[in-house]
Amino acid sequence: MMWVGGRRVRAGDPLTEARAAAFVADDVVRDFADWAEVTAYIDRATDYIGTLPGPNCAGAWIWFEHDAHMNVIGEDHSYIEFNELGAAVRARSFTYEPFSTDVLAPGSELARVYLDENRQRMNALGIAAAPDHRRYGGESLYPKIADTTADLIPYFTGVKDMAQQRPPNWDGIPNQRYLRMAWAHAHDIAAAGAASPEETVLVHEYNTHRNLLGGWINGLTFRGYLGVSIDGHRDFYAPLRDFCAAYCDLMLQRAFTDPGIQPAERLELQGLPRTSPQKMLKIFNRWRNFYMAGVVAQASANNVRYAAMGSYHMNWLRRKGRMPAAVHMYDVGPLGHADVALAYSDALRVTR
Amino acid sequence: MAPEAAGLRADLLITRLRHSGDVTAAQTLWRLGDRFHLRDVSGRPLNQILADATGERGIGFEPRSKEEIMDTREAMEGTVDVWGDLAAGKAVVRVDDLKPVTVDVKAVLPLATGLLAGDLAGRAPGGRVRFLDRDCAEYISELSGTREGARWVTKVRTLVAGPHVLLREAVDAATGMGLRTEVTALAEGAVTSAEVTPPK
Repeated sequence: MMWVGGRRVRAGDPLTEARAAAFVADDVVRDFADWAEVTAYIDRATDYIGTLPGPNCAGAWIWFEHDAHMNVIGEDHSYIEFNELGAAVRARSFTYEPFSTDVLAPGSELARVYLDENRQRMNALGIAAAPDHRRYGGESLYPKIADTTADLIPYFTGVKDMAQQRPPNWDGIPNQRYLRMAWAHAHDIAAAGAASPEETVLVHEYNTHRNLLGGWINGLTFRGYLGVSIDGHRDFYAPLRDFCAAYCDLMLQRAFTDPGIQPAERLELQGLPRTSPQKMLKIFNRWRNFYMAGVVAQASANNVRYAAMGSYHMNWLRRKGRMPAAVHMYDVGPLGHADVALAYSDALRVTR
Repeated sequence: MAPEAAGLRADLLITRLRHSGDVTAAQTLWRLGDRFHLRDVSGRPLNQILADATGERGIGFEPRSKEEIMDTREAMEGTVDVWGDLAAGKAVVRVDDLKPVTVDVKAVLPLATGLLAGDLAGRAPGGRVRFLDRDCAEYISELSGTREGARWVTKVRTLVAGPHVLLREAVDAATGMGLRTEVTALAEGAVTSAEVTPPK
């Protein structure tokens, strides 16, 4: 099925673009502005229109702005993700939240674990073989790893019930993934040699518990639940508590000195209370938002087509006055049980 | 939604209990006839607000990724307004001062019906308590299901005064994670047409 300029093109109608004949015959919705756009689409010269593969909104024809201003995509990570949207519109110029802006040394454990985690997304977006993934990065990995280690400390001390890290609760999956990244990062620091007092403490914890924990952590799967994986390993709790505490201290230091955020932002983070893991969570969350603000500002300055992130961050940037001027914002989260996308302008058309 | 010719205004406080992030959300609901208006000032996106009423386990939004866990942990200033018109079949959603968007009212109707006691019809209350200076019937019930091979049970305590639910507390039996939705102020017959009419 095909529409051009709002008019349905049916079998037998004259075709300005002969190669579009198949579009008229099949049952996939395509809604083009004009015949030039049809030609450009067939020539794979567009990066703003396409058909969503599903499972959510399967078959929907989507259309984004494609002028000089960046499109900011706010997604619900459990609904339509940018790896689906970006693949559908053949996006080539983008930043995306799950991808890291960090310099991860080739061959490092952290790089390996990070690439394992994101390979499927990278394949979907056609960047798996890209020489430098950082150009697609939406934020630093470290605040998320840090958040995990701070979040888990109360579970390892018994203040919180490890049952929350088991199904039917979802938390155990991402926390298992990021705990594995923390361990991989510690491995890399230990291999390179500690370069700060905080790294020295972390390396000490890593070396002390490596024999006990190493095989177990390195065997954790990305889809597993931490609360299930740790069944029968009560003796891991205290070592993991000490490891996570050491990792948090290192991450606080990293946040306070991170050149990836502004000096005033570093000062703000230093001024926040950090006397408990719960308080540290606020620091790591804000660190993350600051990082994302910098990435989005840079992406806009570089004329990147899409900056994709969770809708929370899009709202945070907008509400804090950190959204670059004149960008187009799209909230592509679900609206309850209806497959409807909210658009903050008329630019996003969803045709089903 | 039962028509209320005289209207109803309710202030609500929604508290996430023992989730990774325990954000408290304040809401106001106006209902008049077939129309309603909900204002949420928690800064949460609409899908999370809707999950208060539609979440599978009754305990609100359940983040699935590290990013979502972090996002739900910290409150943010921001307003979501939803105006619904059952007769017209449409609702208008506005985030902060952005351009309002029109959607099918069915998608957002649970936001307006959570205060109704209709789903308790025919069930016997377990006791009577005072809440919000009103005599309330107390109902104890359970939701249950299976996810990822694990059975879950949510214990639900509901306080009902007349046709209105004044408190609904849903708590996971295994972990204590839950969602508490309470009415903090209730005024009947105090709603004007303007309060349930979306901006042009």
